[in-house]
Amino acid sequence: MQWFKYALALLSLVGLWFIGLGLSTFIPLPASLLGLLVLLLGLIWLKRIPNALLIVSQFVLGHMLVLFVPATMGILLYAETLADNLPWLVLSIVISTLLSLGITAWICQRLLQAKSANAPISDDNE
Amino acid sequence: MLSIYSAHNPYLSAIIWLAITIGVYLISLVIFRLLGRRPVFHPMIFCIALLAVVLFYVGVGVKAYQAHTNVLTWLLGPATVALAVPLYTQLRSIRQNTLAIMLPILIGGLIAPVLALAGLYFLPLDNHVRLSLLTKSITSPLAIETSQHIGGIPGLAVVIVIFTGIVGAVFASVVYRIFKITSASAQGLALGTVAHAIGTAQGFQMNQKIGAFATLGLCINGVLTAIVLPLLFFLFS
Repeated sequence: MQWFKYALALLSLVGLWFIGLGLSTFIPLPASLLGLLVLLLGLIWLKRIPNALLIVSQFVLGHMLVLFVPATMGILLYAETLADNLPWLVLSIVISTLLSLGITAWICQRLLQAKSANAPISDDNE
Repeated sequence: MLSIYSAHNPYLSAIIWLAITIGVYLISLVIFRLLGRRPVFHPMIFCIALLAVVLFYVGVGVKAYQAHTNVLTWLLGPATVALAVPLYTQLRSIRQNTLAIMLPILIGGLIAPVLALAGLYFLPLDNHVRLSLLTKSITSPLAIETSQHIGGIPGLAVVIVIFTGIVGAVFASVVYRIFKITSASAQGLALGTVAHAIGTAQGFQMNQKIGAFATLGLCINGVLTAIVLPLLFFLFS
């Protein structure tokens, strides 16, 4: 019977996406985001994660990459049209990504240090 | 296979291409593991290369391939809904460290696309290309839909997202050494915020705490960007 619960959990994710799709006609946000928010509210209301949902979501998120494959193949469509600007595009993405990574982590570390200086329990003892 | 393909049965070609895609994905995972799970050999790189060879050999265009496999792209929607589960498990951390979590995500989520756009300011790029950069730090399914909302090119947005993710995952440890980041929470949060799902996967390879905080960055920045960008374009267009 366990597979039936997993199938139900998987179907509920699809169902929540359709609920998100329905909501997106009133709210100008992506359907998947609205579905996510509905599920989050549901979990807050339930106060726990059903076991089947936990296992299914771990599996789905772990193998999400395969769902990206068709969209990623689009790289072949743009490689030609962007050829002249490709080196700059790549350079700009690399530099902005590395800078943002460092700055974001630095700010977070500073804020956590400031907090643990005021509180007896340090961040890394949790 | 060519003779089956030329039968022009849309369901049959969809099934064949889905099987090929999943096969190529599994082969790429095996190669990635054999090469020691180094971020430089990200499975996506092998997927693109192998599928490009298959498509060229069989003589099927990228657009036809995408049409046959669009059920996979569609399933990204329900898969994104599943992000609510790791987000829910981190609610307690958010309540305890609201400022130290929200402020870096807000700043990181803002400067990543702005810096990328600034670097391209002088290039004669099409506006749709520029708009496609704005979703570079959020996970692909949200990027596809958000990019559609704001007039970017979803296919290009995804390519940029995946490239950003690989760059972040590959160079994170070097960047953290330069910026002297020792806190696991800070390392994880930045990885998830800037390098989304691919950075988060890298975070879990480093340790559980980095992975957990990466999930937070991934979800919150994804949600915020997907909310803020369409609203901005809705208000100003």
